[in-house]
Amino acid sequence: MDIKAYIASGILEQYAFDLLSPAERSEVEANLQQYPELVEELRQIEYALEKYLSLYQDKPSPDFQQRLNDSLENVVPDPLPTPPPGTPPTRGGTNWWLTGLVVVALAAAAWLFFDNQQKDRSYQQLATEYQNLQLDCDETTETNRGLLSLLQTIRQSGNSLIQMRGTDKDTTAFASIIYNAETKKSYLDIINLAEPAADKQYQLWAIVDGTPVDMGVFDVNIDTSKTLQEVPFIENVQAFAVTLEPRGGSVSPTLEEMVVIGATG
Amino acid sequence: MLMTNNFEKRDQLEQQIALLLSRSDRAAIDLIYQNYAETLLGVIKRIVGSHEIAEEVLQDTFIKIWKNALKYEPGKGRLFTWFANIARNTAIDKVRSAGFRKSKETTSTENLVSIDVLGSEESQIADAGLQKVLDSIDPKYRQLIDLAYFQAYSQREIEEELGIPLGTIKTRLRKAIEILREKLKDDHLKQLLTVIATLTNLLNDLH
Repeated sequence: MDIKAYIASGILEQYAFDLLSPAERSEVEANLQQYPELVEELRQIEYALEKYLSLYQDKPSPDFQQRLNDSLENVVPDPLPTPPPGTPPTRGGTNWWLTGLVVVALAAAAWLFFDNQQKDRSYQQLATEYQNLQLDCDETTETNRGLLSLLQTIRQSGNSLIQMRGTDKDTTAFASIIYNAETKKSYLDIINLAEPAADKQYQLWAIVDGTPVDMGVFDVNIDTSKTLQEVPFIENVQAFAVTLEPRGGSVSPTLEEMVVIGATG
Repeated sequence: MLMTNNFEKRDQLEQQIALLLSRSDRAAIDLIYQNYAETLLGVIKRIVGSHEIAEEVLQDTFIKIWKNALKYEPGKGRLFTWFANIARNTAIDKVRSAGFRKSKETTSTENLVSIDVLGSEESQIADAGLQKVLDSIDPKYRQLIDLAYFQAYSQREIEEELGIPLGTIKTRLRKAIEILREKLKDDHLKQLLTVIATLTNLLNDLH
C-alpha cells in the first residue's frame, strides 16, 4: 500500500471525525494495525482536533457535577460480550499481562529516547570542543610558520643589526633595522612604538653622509609588532632614525619629533 | 483546565483514564470531568445552542461513556476523540429528536443543527492565544471543519451545502487539519510517539 497516498487521501481525517461508514471504518482500523505510520499520523490529526475543539470550552453550572454524580449513581459499565468458546477465558489476565508489558515497553521507549537525547547532547558538546581545538591548532600552526620565516630572515648570513633606541621623548621606544649588504636587503623590526594619533604617521630615515634620506612611512598596529617589514635598501648608511610626521610623511624630518635613532657600525 | 501543547502529558492522562475505565473505577469519571467537561460542553453547546440543553446532553454523554467504559480500544484512536465523538453524536441525536424540534419551534430554526457556521463563537472562546490560532485559519477551512465536525455532514451533504466538489472537500479537510497541526509542531515528541506507536503495534500483533 502507498502509505503517503493513503494519508494524502484525507481518509484518516474523516476517520477521526467519525464520518466514515462502518465498512470504511473497519478498513481503516485494519490498516492502523498494520502500519505504525498511520497510527502516528492519526494521533497528530487527533491532537489537532482536540486543540480545535478545546477552543469552544464552556463552564458547566456550579451544581452540574453534583447532578451528574447523582445521575451516574445507578449506572454500571456494560459487560463486554463473553468471548466465544475456544478462547481462553483469561481475558482480564491477558489484559493485565499486556498492560504490564505496555507499561514496561513505554518506560523502555521513554528511557531509550531520553538516553539517546542525552548522548546526542554529549556528542554535540564533544564535536564543538573538537572543532574549537582544531581551530586553535590551525592558528598555532599559522603563527609558527610566520615565526619560522621571521627566524630565517634574521639568521641570514651577512646580517647586521642596528638597534634604534628611544629619544628623550619616549625612552622605552625601540625598533631595529636588519641590514644585509650581501643580499642588499633591509628590514624594519618594530619592537615598541606607540600607536600614533590618526593624523600622524611614523617615517623612517637613513642618514647618508650627514643627510637624511626618506625610506617611507609605516603604520603601527598589533600585527606590525609580530613581523618584519622590508624597507628600501640604501648603501653606506651611517644611522637610521624614525620621526613622527603628519600622515603621508614629510620631505625632510621634523627633528623635534624624532622617536628612535641608532647608528651603524 | 488549560489546554496545553504538551500532548505527552495529555497522553499520560489518557493512559491513566483508560486504565481506570478498563477496571470500571469511578475515579475515571472524576478525571474525565476535571479534564474534559468544559471542552465537551463547548462542543455540545455549539451543536444544540442552549446552555441548559447542552448540560442535559453532557450528562447523557457521561452516562454513555460510563456504560461503554469497557469498550474503548486504544488501538482505534485517542480517548479524547472517543469522548468528543460520543458527545457530538449525542448532541446531534438530540437536535434531530422530536422533542428538541418541538421545544425549538417557537424560535424556529431552519437548520436542524442550530449553529451558524461562522461567527458568534467569539464570546465563547476564553483563551486569547487559541483565538489567534482560530483567526489564522482561512474561513473556508473552518467552515469545512465545522460542517464536518459539529454537524457531522457527510461529504455528499457538504458538497450540496457548499457547492464544492467531493475531491476538493477531502483535500480541504486534510488541509484544514494540517493548518491546525502546524501550530502543534514538536519534533522530539513526534520521535517518541513514533517509537511508542511502533511498540504498540508490535504488541497488537502479539495479541
